Parts: sequence; C-alpha cells; structure tokens
Amino acid sequence: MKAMETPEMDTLERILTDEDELEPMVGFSTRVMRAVREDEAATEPIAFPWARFLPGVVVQCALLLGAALWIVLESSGRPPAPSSAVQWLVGAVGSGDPQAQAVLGVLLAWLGTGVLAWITTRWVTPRRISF
Amino acid sequence: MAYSTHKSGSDDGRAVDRVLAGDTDAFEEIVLRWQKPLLELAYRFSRDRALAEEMAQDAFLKIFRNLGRWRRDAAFSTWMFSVALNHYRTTLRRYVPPKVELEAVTPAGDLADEMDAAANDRIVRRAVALLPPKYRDTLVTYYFMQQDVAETAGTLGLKPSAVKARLSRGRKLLETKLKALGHPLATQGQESET
Repeated sequence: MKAMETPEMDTLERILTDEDELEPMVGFSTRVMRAVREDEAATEPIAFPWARFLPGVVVQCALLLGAALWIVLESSGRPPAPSSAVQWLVGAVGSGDPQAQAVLGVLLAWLGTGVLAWITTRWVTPRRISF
Repeated sequence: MAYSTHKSGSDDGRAVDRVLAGDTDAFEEIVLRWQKPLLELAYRFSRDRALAEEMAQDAFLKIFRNLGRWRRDAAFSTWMFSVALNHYRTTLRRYVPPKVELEAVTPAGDLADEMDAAANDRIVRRAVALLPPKYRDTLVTYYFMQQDVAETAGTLGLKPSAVKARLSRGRKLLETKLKALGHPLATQGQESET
C-alpha cells in the first residue's frame, strides 16, 4: 500500500524509507557469538518443581482445614461459620488454648514458608528459576 | 538502507538446521547475514546508536534461544524480525531515555529558514520515535520493510487491515506533531491547502 496523496506525503515517505546505512561496530558479530556460546555453556535454568510442590500444598491445606474444623467441632459441637472460626481461634489463642495455639503455629509456619518461597523465586534468583 | 526482501530463505533454513543439530558456530552465518538489518531496525526504534547495538545483540541471543520455535510456515526473516521487534519494544518500555523533548532539540525562531534538510529529516524521524508505541511500531516496521503491508503485518502479528488503519492514524498524528513544531513539511502542506 502506498498512500502518497500529496507532495508532502511523498517527502515524508522518502524521509522514513531512506535512512543512512548503519554498519555494526567492529567485532559486533564476535561479541554476539561470545554471548551465544556463554549462554549455551550456562547451566540450564532449574524449572520450579510444580509437580512436587502443588500436591504437597494441597495436602497441607486439606490437613490444616480438617484439623481446624475438628478442633472447633470438638470444642463447640457444631460446625462454625468461617467468621466465627476466626473469632474462636483468636479468642482461644488469647485464652491460652494449646490446640488453638498449635493451629496458629501451623498457620504461621505455612504462611512463613510461602513468603520465603515467594521472596526466593522473585527476588533472590530471578533468572535461574523458570516457571 | 531499509530492509529489502532477502532471498536467503534456504540458506537460513540450512543454518538453523545445523544449529539445532548442535553446531553452534553455524549461528554465526545468521548473525553475519542479518546483523546490519537488525541493527538498523533497532536504531530506527531507539535513535541511539549504543542502545541499538545492545538491543540487536540481545535480540540475536533471543533468536538463538528460540530457534526451535521457528515454524517453517513463515519465512525465517519474518519470524526473526518478529522476535527482534518484541525484544526492542520490551526494552524500550523499560528504558528511560534522557529527558530531551522534541521541542528542545529544535532551534527557536523560524524553523523553515534556520534548518537544513538533514536536520529536518532527523526531526521527522525523531517525531516518529516519539509517537505512541502502536503507531511508532507500525510506521517504523512498514517503512523498514519497504512499504510491504503483508510483511509488516506478519512481523507485527497483525492483520493487514489493522496495519493500514494504524499507518493512516500514525501519519495523521505525525503531521499534527510536525505542525505543532512548525516543521516545514507540515507548513508546506498547510500552504498548499489554502
């Protein structure tokens, strides 16, 4: 398609099409090939082990939820609403209930692990772990 | 020099086959054949010689890493330019250029009298580089590809109709920008209209 309707457009087309030639600096191809060889020689990035990671997380979540539900049922005898479960946990931890403290401990450990995994993958080794 | 359709498809294909078979040195053939067009394209986007070299070098690295993804239904050059363009666009999104407005590089006063032709041309090219990315990409690629809409569309991953629409809108934006600067090219247009 050539939409040259006016002399000004012709000039514009000429300016944008014809630019001065640009020669690569001396040694450009050598530098490219060096980078290519270094890249090839580098160890393959370690793929994040999702296949091993996800089942573990799913099982851990299920166990944690099951344990929390069991503790709540044991103490009150009826299934709680999600908001009352949180209230119960906060209240029970405050009153020194060892079961509630154990649940909170697991929750915090799980959260901490997640945060550490995130920091490691996002900030520490961004180029070596591929997703 | 703009890129002109290169009849090197079979040479590229053979070199790619060798690289994929483990002969890394064969990639140098591709580098030597395409270094100039890739550098020129990078320069048209960045208008910065050093940055263009860096972008072209990184583009070759990306091309090397992704050689296995070249589906041979498109010409190697189309695929290669497409990879390079994506890299250039990503780099320029992150790159913060020195804060020099277009107006700041133009001398004050009557531009038509004070500027020589080369300076005028440079301003037009720089104005293109300052267009919104989707118009800049289309205009730069289209003129680099010797005004071949199909090749431009293939490289940008757009439909030809979208390329034509962006070219039209991009030219209008460019004219507006040049008029605002009092560029002779735009003022000539105004005079001929009256």
